[in-house]
Amino acid sequence: MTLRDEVSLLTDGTGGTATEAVAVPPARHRARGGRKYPSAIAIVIILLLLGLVAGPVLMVFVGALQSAAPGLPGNTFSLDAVYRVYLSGAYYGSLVGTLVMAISVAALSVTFGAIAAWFLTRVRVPLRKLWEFGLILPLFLSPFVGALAWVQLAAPNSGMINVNLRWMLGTDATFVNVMTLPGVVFVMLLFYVPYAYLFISSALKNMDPSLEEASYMNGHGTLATALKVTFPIMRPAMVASFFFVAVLATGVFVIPAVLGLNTSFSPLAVEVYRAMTVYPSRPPVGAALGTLLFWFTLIGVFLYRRSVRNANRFVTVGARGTRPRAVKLPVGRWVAAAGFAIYTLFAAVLPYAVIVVMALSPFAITDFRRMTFSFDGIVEVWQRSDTSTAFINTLWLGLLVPTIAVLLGLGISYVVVRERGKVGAIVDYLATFPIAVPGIVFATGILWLYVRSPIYATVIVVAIALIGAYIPQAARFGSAGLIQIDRSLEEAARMNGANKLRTISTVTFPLLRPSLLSAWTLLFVFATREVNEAVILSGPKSRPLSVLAWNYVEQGSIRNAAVVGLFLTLVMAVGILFARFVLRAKLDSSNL
Amino acid sequence: MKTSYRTMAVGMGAIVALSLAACSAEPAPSASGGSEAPAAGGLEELIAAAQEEGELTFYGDANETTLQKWTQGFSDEYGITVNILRLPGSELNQRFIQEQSAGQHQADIFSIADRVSMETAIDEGFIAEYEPENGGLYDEAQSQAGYFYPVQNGYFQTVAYNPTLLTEDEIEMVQKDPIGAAGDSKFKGRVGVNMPQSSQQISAFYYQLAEGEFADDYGWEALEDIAANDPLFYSSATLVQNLIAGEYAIGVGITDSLAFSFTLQGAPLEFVYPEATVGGYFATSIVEEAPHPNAARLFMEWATTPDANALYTEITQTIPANSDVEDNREILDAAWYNEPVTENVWFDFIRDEDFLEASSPDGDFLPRWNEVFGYAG
Repeated sequence: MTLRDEVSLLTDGTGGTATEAVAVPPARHRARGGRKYPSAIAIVIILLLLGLVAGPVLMVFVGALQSAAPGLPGNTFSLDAVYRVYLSGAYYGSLVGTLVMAISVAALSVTFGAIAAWFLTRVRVPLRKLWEFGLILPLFLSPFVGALAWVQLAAPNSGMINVNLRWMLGTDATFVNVMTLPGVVFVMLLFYVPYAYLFISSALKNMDPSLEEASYMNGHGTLATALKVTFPIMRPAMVASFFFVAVLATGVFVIPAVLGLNTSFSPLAVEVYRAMTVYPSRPPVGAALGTLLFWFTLIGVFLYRRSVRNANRFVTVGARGTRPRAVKLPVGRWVAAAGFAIYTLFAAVLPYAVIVVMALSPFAITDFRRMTFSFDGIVEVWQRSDTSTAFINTLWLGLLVPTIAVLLGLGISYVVVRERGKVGAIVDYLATFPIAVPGIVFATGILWLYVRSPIYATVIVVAIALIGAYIPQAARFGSAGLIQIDRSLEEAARMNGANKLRTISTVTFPLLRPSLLSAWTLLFVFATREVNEAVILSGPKSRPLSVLAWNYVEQGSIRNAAVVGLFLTLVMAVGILFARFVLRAKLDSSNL
Repeated sequence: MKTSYRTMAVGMGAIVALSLAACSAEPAPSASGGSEAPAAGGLEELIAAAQEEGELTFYGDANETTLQKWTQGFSDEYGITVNILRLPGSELNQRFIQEQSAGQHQADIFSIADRVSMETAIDEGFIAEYEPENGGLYDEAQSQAGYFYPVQNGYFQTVAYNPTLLTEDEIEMVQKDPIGAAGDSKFKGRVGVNMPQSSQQISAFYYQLAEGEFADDYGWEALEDIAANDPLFYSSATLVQNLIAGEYAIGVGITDSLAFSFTLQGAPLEFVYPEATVGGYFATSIVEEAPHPNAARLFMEWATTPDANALYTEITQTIPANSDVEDNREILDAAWYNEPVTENVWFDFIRDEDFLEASSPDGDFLPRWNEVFGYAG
């Protein structure tokens, strides 16, 4: 007996009132016992995921088993690349190094993220709103531009900090050096702490404060309550964000590529990039390395999914608007404020300041005494015809990618959260896959898949790649919102004869609006700043601003790259203000 | 159930659209029609047909700003827009072959520094046969008549330095024996090197010193000396940026065409051609299945003229390849600049079997270089 039969039986038999509808047995039983075939929505979602996610990933596996890139003349089946990557031992060092790096970055991000989340939700830190904004500010800066800025700031010989402190203090000392392994980890931390913070503070904001209250009532102090009550409640979110960040850090190549050419090992994602691009290029080896990364990140994804299941265990959206009791830390709150100020300075203020300086000075000269400034770069870049094309392409991506990804994410989370069962699990896995594949590998899969199609080299194919890549984030926002909405509201609509699509569009969607708008804003930012995938897929007329900036760096023009970086920031700022004031979207952790 | 069907129908529509996009056959050839030869009847008709097409797409691996400025000359003259796709050579070649093999015809002009890639493309039938009127003004050794011409001049490997970071004596040392200076312990911690993985030409540059013609004068020992100076490793573009910024003082393996563009803007950068250097010429060609065949042919006519080569020479300050162009480059006035002795430059590495084998993915040259320099890549 399916859900529909059961429902219609009830309504038909009794005249169908909402009260009776609520009496329908809980969803879990029905989903397990009843449905024999997946719903239409589930089928659509699965098919879309096959095209957007499974297809490209499969192409990567196919590519790993070839003698040259798929589709090339004289290409044959070959195990050579797989042998080189998996068995020859040439990449073991790189693999171990990558895993150690990813785990350290994840552990540190979670530690700092958790501390930040606790202080901002439980302690009256001065200027709290400012630091909340400061913590998510790095999300608006492309990691690639951020890494470039840090090279200008803290390269051992020519970094702004070293060069200028030397003449000011009259010494030869090197004060900071970001081009080391700890340097790479430091810059990665600046970009990954916000993710951990968002996950954990969402759990903290949404938890039931009466648990902490009970602990205080029983005479436990701040520390005991924090450790024995708050920490266990944060733990699932911490574990989830640990795996999320670890998986992301495994796949990132721009930060180590910009900073880490002189470190003792070369991360796998950088090896993938080299195999695909530098001389002598070996796309099958790149693909095989991609598959190697895939297995490890898949384990991460598996553990991430397990922990996400528990992450919202204590979340309640109740009618009582209780606020957690503020912890009194008269000194601690000032120390925390100082900590947040330092973080904001490192992660956002300094990098942006450097980009402005870079955009205004003709060469990468870092000595304040020798710098000259002019608007030539801005004028030059502004007047080039491809800048306006890139602006338009960026706007298209900024419009299409978040909108479609959010709608897809809503469908996915509906199937995963509301329909569950085996189909839900399959959809959930498929939708999480993209974070397991480094962007450059995923994009290569898309290229191999779509090279024969008429949409090749258009903005559409770039958009398809980005939608595929951001499905996990969109689905995460969707399900986090959906879990909080009582399904009896949807059931009431169904009782009254609304079909599933109508229920979703008139009940679920409006209730989820805040979550979805948050997701839209975040994905808008991701889509406009993304480089890895767009650089592989865009043609001469479909380049977005981010790729233009990358090209300038490739030809040694830091100034023009910085100018484009500023334009890009402008687009993002306009988009965020639009979302904030026109759509009334709020990008903060309470919607995550 | 009706609504379920509707949902299903919408979904199926989306799937069909997606799979159509992914699996459909090659795109239809453009209206102007595949690889048709230019309209017979001279330049006038070619110009009219090209202007009818209105645009062309240029695939190249030279500096993008250079390409923009240069092709603007063509656009100004004929009112035809030039779209540029600039990628590093290895990537450009992969992408071009991939597209051509898939029947995905995007490029009208294909221009690449790596001669082997160009010759492979000709063998595969991806390059159109076309003889421009001024084709004869280019050195035969650097052209393949009827296919490609070195209209974008040549480029040579140099050792570059930041004069603000060196004393006069040190500059003299570098000018006299650049490779020896880079390995002199005086410069410990002040050297940057381009990695042989950056391009085949950089590989050849190191190979010539270590195992090639100059092995007796330099050999692996010379490279070991440079390695003993704890050099920083970069790829071409970042190498130049960091030299200008002062991250290090002497850079080994910087292409002159890249360095010129900064020098002319007044960046603290000078360079010298080592006695043992390598060079190459960009090969510029028309794509067989060009979507804008007439515009592509008109471009080739324009590019081979002395005027167009003089423009390229002025922009890049590289030695003009067109025999009718007088060499009166600004850079010749710079006291530190000495032209490379082209007779000594190794161009033939692209046909040197020992080198090609040693630098192939299975060869031992790159691993040995990595070992000598302690480089993990």
